Amino acid sequence: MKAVRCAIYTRKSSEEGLEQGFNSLDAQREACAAYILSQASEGWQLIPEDYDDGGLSGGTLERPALQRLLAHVAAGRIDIIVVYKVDRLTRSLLDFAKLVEAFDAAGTSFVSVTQSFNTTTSMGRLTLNMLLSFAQFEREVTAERIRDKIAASKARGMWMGGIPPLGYRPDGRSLAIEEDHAALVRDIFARYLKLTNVRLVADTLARDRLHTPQRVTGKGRRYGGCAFTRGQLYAILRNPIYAGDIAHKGTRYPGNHPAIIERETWEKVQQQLSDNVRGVRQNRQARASLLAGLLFDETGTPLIAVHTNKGRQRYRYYAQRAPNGADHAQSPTSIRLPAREIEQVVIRELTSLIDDPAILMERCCLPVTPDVYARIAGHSMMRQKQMLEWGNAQMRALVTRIVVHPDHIAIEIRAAALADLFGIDGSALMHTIRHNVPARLRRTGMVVRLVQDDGMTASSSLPDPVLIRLLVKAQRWWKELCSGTCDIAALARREQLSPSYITRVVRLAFLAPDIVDAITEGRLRAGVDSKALLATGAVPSDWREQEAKYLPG
Amino acid sequence: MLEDLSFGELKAAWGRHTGKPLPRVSAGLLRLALAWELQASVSGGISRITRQRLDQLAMDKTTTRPARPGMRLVREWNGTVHQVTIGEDGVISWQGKEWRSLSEVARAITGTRWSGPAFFGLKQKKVAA
Repeated sequence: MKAVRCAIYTRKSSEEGLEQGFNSLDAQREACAAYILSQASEGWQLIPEDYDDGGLSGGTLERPALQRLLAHVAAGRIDIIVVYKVDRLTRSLLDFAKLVEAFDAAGTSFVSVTQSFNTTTSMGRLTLNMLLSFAQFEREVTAERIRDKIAASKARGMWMGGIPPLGYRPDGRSLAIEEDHAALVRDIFARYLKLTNVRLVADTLARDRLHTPQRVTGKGRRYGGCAFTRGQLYAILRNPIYAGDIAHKGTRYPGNHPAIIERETWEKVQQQLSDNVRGVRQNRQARASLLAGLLFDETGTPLIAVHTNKGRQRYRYYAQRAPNGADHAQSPTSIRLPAREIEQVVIRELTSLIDDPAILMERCCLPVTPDVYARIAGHSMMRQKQMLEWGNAQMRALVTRIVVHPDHIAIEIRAAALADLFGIDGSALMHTIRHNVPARLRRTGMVVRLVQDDGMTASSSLPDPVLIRLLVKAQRWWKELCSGTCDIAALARREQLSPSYITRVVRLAFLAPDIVDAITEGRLRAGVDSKALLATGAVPSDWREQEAKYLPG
Repeated sequence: MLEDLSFGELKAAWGRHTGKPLPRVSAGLLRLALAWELQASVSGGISRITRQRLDQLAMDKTTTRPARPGMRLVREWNGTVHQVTIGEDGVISWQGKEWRSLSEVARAITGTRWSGPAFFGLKQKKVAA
């Protein structure tokens, strides 16, 4: 016959041991051992190792002996676990499910000596589940009963324990006045009424060397003996106990204890404290990213707003959610768009669309009449700046979704919301307008950038004003030099600049016409600015060479 | 080649090719200038439109957006709405006819000389930032 290895698990939380003397670890172990012996004919054998958790609650699985037992079960060293009662293992149904799962995986069953069932059968498992449901129910009912009892006792004005407020000592189910401390409390209330300022009260108390009295908690911990903080003073001044009340969850009941402060005085202090409050306390609310919830990749996967911080700088992105908890940085193929770049593209496209209302109204399918145009003209002055102030909610009202394709971005706009923007009733418009922006994604490192098809960064289409001014200056100076009226040294003296700087600027007059066009239209190759064009050797004489260098390729 | 010419030869070539007075600059700058003039004489210099645009940008008072293909310009004049479309090939059409410039259309609508870009709202005063 095959030997069945049995392990005994015992547990006792201290309070239970007190009320039930027989339910000690030894008694449990003895009963279990006797049971195993009775099953010797079935081949049951007690393994020598002990699994005893003394003084630990059944509410948690973090018990050393239980963890050791589970490790041995997982190692396949145990066939049956014998316990005195099921609640020795756990009192929580959730934890019990975990345990049963672990036992099942290892092919281990367990037996309760005083509660007869066998977890190897479905009926046994059902019984067990029911039993544990009731165990859990009992725990919750007990907790409810205690809560109700506390509420009822407080409603009758009883003191329900805890550290007594300064000026009182516990007196059965009530509080008694501790006279020298109560004098200190009266002093604090009087000072506040005179000064009407908690900070000044704290200052004068510290100046008069009036400190919190040294007290000892029920468990023997010493506290007090230091200066009153403002927080402590607020707590004292706001405490309804001093007016003879007991508070419970926002309601006040008349207490059984004597008041230290007259009710009238106390109310006056409360009024003063409330009058002193300036402004509204509010938590800072996180501002949602402008396009949060609107961006999708071409497969329909949403791009979520993420950010990283470096020092005080915050870098925002819209990124694909990494598969199941993996780090974003570890999936190199996923899209990760710099937030500012895509936001600017979207804002620019929307503003330019709104500035061209005729096309829009046609796509909205609204009849175009002169008065409609007049109204649009009033509204079309939507500035980019204004839209930059928009919040996520406003953007969501106008845009249904934005799909980022590899070679373009599709913005879907609610026709009705657009009509509203122009002050036209568009409630009948159900359709969306689709607007395509030719821009493609280019990967630089981990980050994907948006690049317009001619190689220019999509978000920068305005001409560089510094470059324009330099270009105009260069042409004016060259004209002067050509007229023979002055030389570079004379120009430098007049402009109060160095001759070498003048020379470098004048070279810009010899940029190819195509490059000048590109500068005025703001479509130079990304990264080409005035600094790059003023560098030594920046202007080759051959136009083709210049174009290869500065025009988007 | 220009690179091989001495300063003296460069000066002579400048006078021969451009007919302009000789600027008092270094050989390097003169070589660059001469190369530009030679290339401009073959493929044309900076266009009039670009020059105007540069001046406008430098003055920093108004901006004119170019009329791009596919644009539709709408202008209300004396209670009627006029729509001008610019075709994919850049052709300006209004009332089923083709026009040479926006200014021509503006003149036909109003009977007076108008700057086309100004009339159709392409030229706008810059708002102080």
